[in-house]
This record gives sequence, C-alpha cells and structure tokens, in this order.
Amino acid sequence: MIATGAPPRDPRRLVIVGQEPVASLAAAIGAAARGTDRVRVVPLTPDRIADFDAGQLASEPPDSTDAFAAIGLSALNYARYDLWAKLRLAGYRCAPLVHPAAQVDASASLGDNVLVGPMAAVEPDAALGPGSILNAGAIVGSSARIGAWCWLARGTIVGAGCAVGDHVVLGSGVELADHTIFPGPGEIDVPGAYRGSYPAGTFRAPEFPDPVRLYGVAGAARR
Amino acid sequence: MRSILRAADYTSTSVFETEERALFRRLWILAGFRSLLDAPDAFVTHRIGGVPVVIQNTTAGLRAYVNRCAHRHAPVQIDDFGTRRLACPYHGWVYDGDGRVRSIPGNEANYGFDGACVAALRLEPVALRIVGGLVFVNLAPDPMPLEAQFHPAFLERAAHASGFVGDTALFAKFDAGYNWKLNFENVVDRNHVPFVHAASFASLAPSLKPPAPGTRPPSPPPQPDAEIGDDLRELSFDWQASFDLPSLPWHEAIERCARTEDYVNYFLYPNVNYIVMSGAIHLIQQYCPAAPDRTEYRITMALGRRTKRLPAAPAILWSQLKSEKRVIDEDTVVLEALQRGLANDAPPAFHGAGEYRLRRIAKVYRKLMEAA
Repeated sequence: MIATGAPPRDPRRLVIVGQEPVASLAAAIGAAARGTDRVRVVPLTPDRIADFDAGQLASEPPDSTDAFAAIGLSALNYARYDLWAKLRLAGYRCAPLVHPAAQVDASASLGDNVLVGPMAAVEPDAALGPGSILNAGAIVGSSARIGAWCWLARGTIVGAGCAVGDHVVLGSGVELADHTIFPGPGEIDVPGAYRGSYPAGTFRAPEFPDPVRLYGVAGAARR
Repeated sequence: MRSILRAADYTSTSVFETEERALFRRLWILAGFRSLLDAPDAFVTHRIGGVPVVIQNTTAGLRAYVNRCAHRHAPVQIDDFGTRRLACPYHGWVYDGDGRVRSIPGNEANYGFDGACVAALRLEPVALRIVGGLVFVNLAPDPMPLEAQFHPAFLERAAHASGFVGDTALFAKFDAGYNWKLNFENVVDRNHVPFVHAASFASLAPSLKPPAPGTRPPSPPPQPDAEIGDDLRELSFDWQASFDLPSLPWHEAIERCARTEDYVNYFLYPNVNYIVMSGAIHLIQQYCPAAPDRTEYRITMALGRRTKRLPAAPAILWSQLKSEKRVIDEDTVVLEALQRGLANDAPPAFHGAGEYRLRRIAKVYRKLMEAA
C-alpha cells in the first residue's frame, strides 16, 4: 500500500534549524503538513553550527514543538548528527518529514529526522535510519536498508535488498544494483552502476580514479 | 647554469632500469606509518625498484619480505593494505612470522615435498627499520646504515612527529604521467608555489607569496656549483612554515605534535614527502617509479592519536584528502606537460644560484647512478 501526499494536519509546531537548501525543503514539507504559521526556520551559518545552543528555542518548548536538524552532507552528515543530538538532548522530537509528492510505502520505516524529498520513493519494507535524507527523485528499493545519517542525492537509486551503512553519501546518478552492500562510512560521488560488496570505508570521487580506502576503523580494510 | 641531468634522465628506459638498481634497491625507502600496522596480520604492499614487497605484522613482529610465494611466485598479499594472514592466495601456502613455510595444503598428495625441502622454503627477507612512527625498508643484501642516508638529527625530528600518528588513515593512489624525479624536485622547489598554487596552497602561506620587487630573500645563500656537496644525507631535510591554518574543534580530540599554524615538511630522498599539518594531520606522499614517464602516486593521510572519541575522523580525513588532491592536481597539469616536452635532445634545465637544492639533488643522483 502506498501512502501518497501529506499526512493529516499535525497540531504541533515545527522549528527547523539549519541551512539551505535543506532548511527550505524541510520548511515546505512542514508547512504542507502543519500550516505555514506553525513552522519556523532558524538559519545557521556554517561557522555557527558548532556553537548552536538549543536554548535559542526557548519560546518553542519541546512539549508542543517538534524540531528538525536541516544540515546537508557536510562532514559525511556528522554536522547534521551533532545538531540533531543537541535538539534531542533539549527534549525535542525530530519526526520524519515526507514531501507530499513523495511515495513512501506504509510498510517502510523511517527514523527520526529523516527527510524524503519530492518525487522520492521508499518501497515496501525498506528502512531509513535516523537522520538520512532522500533528495528529490531518489528511490530506495523494497527491503533495502539505509543506515543512519546518510545522504542520497537527487535521483540516486538504491536497489531492492541493498544494505547501506551509516554516514554514507551517494551522489547524483549513482545506482546501487539489487542486494549491493555498501557499509559506512563512505561516499560514492561518481555516477554509474555499482554492485557487489564493498569494504567499509570506501570513497569514490571524480578526482580519484580508484577507490580511496580507510585504514584503522573497526571493520575497515579487514578481510 | 645548466643542470647536470639530461632530458634522457627523465625519459630513457635504460636510465629508469638503472635507477631501480642503483637507487630503489639500494636506498632506504619509507614504506609507511607504523601505527597502521599495529593490528595482528596487518600488512602493506609496495613495489620498490620493480620488486614487490610486503610489510606484515607477524607473530615474530613487523617483518618485510619480497612479496613472492616460494612456490609459483604469486604475491602472498595482493591488496595495497589490509589485515590478512601471511598466506599465498593462489595455492594456500601459509608462512610463519620468520617467512618460513608453515603449511602446504595437500602437500603429500599434490606436491610431495619432504620435510627438509619444506624447511628450506621461505620468503625472501627484506631489511626493515622502524624510526618513531615510520617504517623504512631496504632491498639491498647488505643495506647501508640508515644514518648514512639521513642525518641523525633529521631522523630524530621525523621520529618525534611520526610518533604522534594514530591508527586511522585514508589511502589513495593514482597514476601521474611524469618521471618520479620531477615530483621530488617539485616539492623541494618553493618557487613554483605562488604561481601553480596561487588560489589554493599559496593563499594559506604568506611566506610563500612572491616577494615584493627589489627585495632579496634572506635565504638560501647563492652557492656556486663547486660548493654544492654530494652528501646523500643533505637531500633529506625538514622545512617548517607558519600558515593561516584555522583552529578546528576536532583538534581538541587529537594529540598534536605542533602548533595550529605549523606546516612541516620532511623530505625523504628519493621519493617521499611527509607533511604534518597543525600537528594533527600526517600525510605521506610517495612518488613510486612505474615507468620513465609514469609515477604511481600514493597518499596516506592519517590523524594524530585520538585523546577522545572522534566518530567523524573518516569525514575529516576525506575532506582534507580532497583538498590535498586539488593541490596535487595543480602540480600534475604542469609536470605532465613538462614531461611531454622532454624530447631526448631537449637541453638540460637551467638553474639559478638560489636553486642549490635542485643542483644538489642532481649531483648526488649522478654519483649514485655512476656507482652502479
């Protein structure tokens, strides 16, 4: 069963803390579900992310307000994770945001602070870990698992049964074939089709013709 | 004055083959960071002077061997690095820490080696020295003392800095279309920085901007050719500058060997530049000869030892590595074009008196090559 469009109007307010373009997208989704008057954006410049103090949100207490950490893929999504942690420690619920034009199957599960952008699709039994962001048109196939704090760029395709680890960035034009395993942390920013099983800590970027690999973190570079 | 190196020294196959023997199978070569080989069975592979080499953490300690199985000469380790026992992937022969064959699957049925024969089978050992956090190897049967190649005081400083290297690093390699010597010459040549790296590296370093017209650099003093020595040890040296490097929150999680603004190079002849940035990031650039006009460029970028949890360590390294690659690419454009223009009858390079380091490199190189 596919749930399309906005959920029933949510009575709680939503405060979005972060940067463009994620903040605007999150605000648009929030406004569609809760009304424009119930959504506020607290912009952060890049040099202020680390300094953010949830005390700034005192006028919107967590008992009546949800929050959303709207930072992009900076530092393999660790910047968004750090901001989310501050919001959670301050007591805010960071519910997932689903664009009205996205399609999320009712059997799929979405973690805290997940964002599903316009025309993105999450197929049956797929799961998105906390903080992961699916940009416009990204598709997560049935039974695929996306870890926490991932970033799927516009049009990324993750095939059925794939397993994507935590803190993974998949760039535009990347297509993971069904049942591909890509543990985190890592990044693929070279368009193309990928299949098979990758070691943890694999990084692909246009400036490196071969994969860059991580030494020393548990699970990386071990066979 | 003209360099004593000819264009053919950068293009000739016979020169390249002589270099493999005279330099790379004779000198100490930096193989990597010790801390990345701390785990049991951790290994790194190299190709040095055309010889495959594996450095492996074994039950007997850190050991280096020619990476060639005693059986059919397949490499016992195929990957650039990893964690895997010392065993040939081709037929499963397993080696002990001393490089001796420990087991041969199906020996009796398939091979019929007797005990004495098996006992004599072993990997060919390669000399290894650990200096601080650095691992050096030498393929010569009777290696020169490490201190004959590097000044002890220089080794001491490099040992101190590398002693801070932690256990997390990124590794990258790629081909560059030029002779390896151009790369070592390039990194010790500061004069190119304001022009090739104007928008990147140079902007961080006021000391690397072009001097105002009419000003004379305080150093180095011009030296006539006759005063340029041919001491091999002089080719390796360290150089420290103050850069506009920012203090970053994650620095607090790293045990650092220098100040935030410090950018330190340790140039290790023949083919390594070890860089320490803000005392927190340790970078080894290796310019590995692959052909007269081709260099395998290997980068290992590590963080210093962590003093507290730093889950974002891979993200920090990845961001830094991409920045580093952009700087390298700026050099590559120029060096590959330079290499393409090196016809065998091209005249030698023209050096100024202030470029004494380049002239010294040429002089020592010629001496090493003639000794072969």
